Amino acid sequence: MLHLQPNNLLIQKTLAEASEALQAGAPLTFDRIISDFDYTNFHVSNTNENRTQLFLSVRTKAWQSILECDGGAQGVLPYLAAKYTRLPGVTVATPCEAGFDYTLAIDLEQLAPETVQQLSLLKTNIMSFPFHLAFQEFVTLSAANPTTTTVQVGKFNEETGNVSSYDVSKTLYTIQYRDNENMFIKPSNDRITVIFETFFQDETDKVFGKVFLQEFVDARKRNRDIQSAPQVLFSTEPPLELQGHLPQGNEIADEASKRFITFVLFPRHFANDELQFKTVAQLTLFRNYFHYHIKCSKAYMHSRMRYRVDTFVKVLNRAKVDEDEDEAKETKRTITGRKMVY
Amino acid sequence: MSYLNNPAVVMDNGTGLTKLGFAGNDSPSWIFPTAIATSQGNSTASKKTTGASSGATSGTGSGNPYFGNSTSATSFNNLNSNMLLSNNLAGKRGTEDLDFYIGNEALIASQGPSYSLSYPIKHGQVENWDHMERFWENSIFKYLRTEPEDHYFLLTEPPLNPPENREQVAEIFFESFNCAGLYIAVQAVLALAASWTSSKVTDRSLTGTVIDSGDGVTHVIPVAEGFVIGSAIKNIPIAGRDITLFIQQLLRERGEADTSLRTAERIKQEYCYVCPDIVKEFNKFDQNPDKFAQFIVENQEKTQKKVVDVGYERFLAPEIFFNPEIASSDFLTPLPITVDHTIQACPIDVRKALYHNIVLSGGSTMFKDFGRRLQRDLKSIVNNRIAQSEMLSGTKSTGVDVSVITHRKQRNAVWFGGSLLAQTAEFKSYCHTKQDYDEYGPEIVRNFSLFNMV
Repeated sequence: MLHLQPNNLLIQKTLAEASEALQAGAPLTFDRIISDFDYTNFHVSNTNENRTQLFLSVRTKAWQSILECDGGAQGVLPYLAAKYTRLPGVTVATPCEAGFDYTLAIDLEQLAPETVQQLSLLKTNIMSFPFHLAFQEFVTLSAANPTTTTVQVGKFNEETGNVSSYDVSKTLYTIQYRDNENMFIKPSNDRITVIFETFFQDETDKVFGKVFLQEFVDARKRNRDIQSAPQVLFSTEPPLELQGHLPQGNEIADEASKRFITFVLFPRHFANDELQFKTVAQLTLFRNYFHYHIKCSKAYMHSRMRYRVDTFVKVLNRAKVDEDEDEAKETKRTITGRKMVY
Repeated sequence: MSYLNNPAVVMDNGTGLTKLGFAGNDSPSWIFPTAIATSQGNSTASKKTTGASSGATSGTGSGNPYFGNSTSATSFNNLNSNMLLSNNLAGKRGTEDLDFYIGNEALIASQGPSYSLSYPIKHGQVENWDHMERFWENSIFKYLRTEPEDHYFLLTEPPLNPPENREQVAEIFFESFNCAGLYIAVQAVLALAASWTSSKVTDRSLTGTVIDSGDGVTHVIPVAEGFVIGSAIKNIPIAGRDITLFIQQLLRERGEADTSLRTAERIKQEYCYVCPDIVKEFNKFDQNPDKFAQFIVENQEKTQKKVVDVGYERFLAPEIFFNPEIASSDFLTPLPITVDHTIQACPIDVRKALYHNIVLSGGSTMFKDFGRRLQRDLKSIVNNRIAQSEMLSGTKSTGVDVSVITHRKQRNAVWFGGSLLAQTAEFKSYCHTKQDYDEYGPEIVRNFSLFNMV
């Protein structure tokens, strides 16, 4: 069971390689492309003149929507700058590399393992900005309208309409992280709702995907041990939170095959920084994890099919008529008992 | 479609090592053994041992923060996963198919009791498709971190790979992974393409002889206009491992302090070179003692040091390509003669071009002056033949130009050639796409249009 890590192994490896080479006195020239999920590309480069300074640029599909998700204030830039400039040797390069969205300059001489770790989390950190906003908004909302009773999860959908007891934020953070799929985050006074749109191009995937999504919902109902996990809802129609927010008119043909999966985060899932990070890291990797497991199931099916075909072939082989005996009678032999070869 | 901007993924799955990376890079992002460690035994009996061993392996893995073991479910929450399995869907049938490691992690995991190691590729060809499918699965998602739907893939195949194997690959890549597009290239052709980086190559042709020497076996493969001449391919059972074993044998005979295979391998990589003449080289060593080197072996904790003398094996070891009789008794044809036989077995109109462009590929061709020696020996064979035919026919020959090309990317030449071709703008038009596959089925991969680069 692959537990996808939030950090990019290849960035870690490349940076470690770079700093090792520098320490060994033979700094390398870098010009490498590194990829990540969801149309994210990194570029690690330096110049021949200055090999101690490394540039790490990132381009990601989600960037535009994250830049605009706080109403055009572009708060993600200071957010990332605050996260990275406190690390020794890391500065934000302005302007960023052509064709990329964000560039960090790294002084290899000051590279610490902690810095490498944080740099490899760059994509997760970018994606975490809307979550960060949602967590903040949750704090203000819950301070304005504290809840005293625990919410009945089953009544969730009815309650969203009831604004007096349930203070919903007007903002809906949208991350357009793929062409046809978006992620929506909606904070309210007692919870944060994260909704994933899923869309499959392949018919087989659609079936597997439905089984999986259903299983996400059912596993929680069935299993007592994971009651503290976020509530998961699955629907084929856009949930109420999204009404009025979904872009209308486009991809009508796709609408039918869209599925929505909703994670309801309660305060216990983002009570402190560590939990917040864990939640964000897992949610941003949800789609990849999900798709990995669809692919694994297909691989498993394939191995079962290969096994079955092999057994059938064995049965067929057993059913072959043994021709040797008939042949023995007919083959002509020489006087010394040798077979005639034609 | 935004996947057009994504770099293509280049995967070269060899018998020993797998090279993974993105097109446009100058070296593979990942190089690790093509090994997979799968959990064995049935679900209930092995559950407890699995938990125990993954604890042990994560302990060893923690020394290196970048290669921590986290592929397995059991390594992040041992206790919970056992309880989880009891009453949901996964409990009905085990999840052994998800419990595996690949690459270096597989080597570590296989030291524990509950994993068995296997190499899904034998002699360049995929033997175990179940394992290979899972190997790819993990290399794409864990190591390359790509969504296969967004990327084009360039895979490699050995020469003489049966078309059925290609179809299998296509089925896996299009049906399991839904990859956007696929191109399967012959390794020898990619090695030729990699040689274009050498300054000696002036015309970018896909005609030439590829000498591909890896760990297990050395192939001599003639390629004409991008097509492999299958009938003329020759194999030599001398390759990297034989050289290592030969060095080890010499070390043992001399009674050195450390004669492990690992030491022999390091000596091979760091000290060996090809000499023009053995007798002269022996004399040189005797007159000039500083030719002898010393290799220092440190154990992992760097507390003990052993000094290993490195002597004649510096030039004797690579010599087994040119004089196999010093190491083996069953294979006695030197490499230059094999190359000559190979080219002579090809159609007469391509022979000149094949002699003119002899390309080296693979780690065992990295010895200093390997190319120069090969070129010299081959030239003398060819010149002798020309002299003889001139004498017999009485006419003057126009001569045959023999040239062996060495270049800096030789070690991962196949991968590098793939990276070079896959970054070109035309690459995607040569690929078969998912739409093509859905339309025509797996047999489309029997044909790939060649890159015709000028």
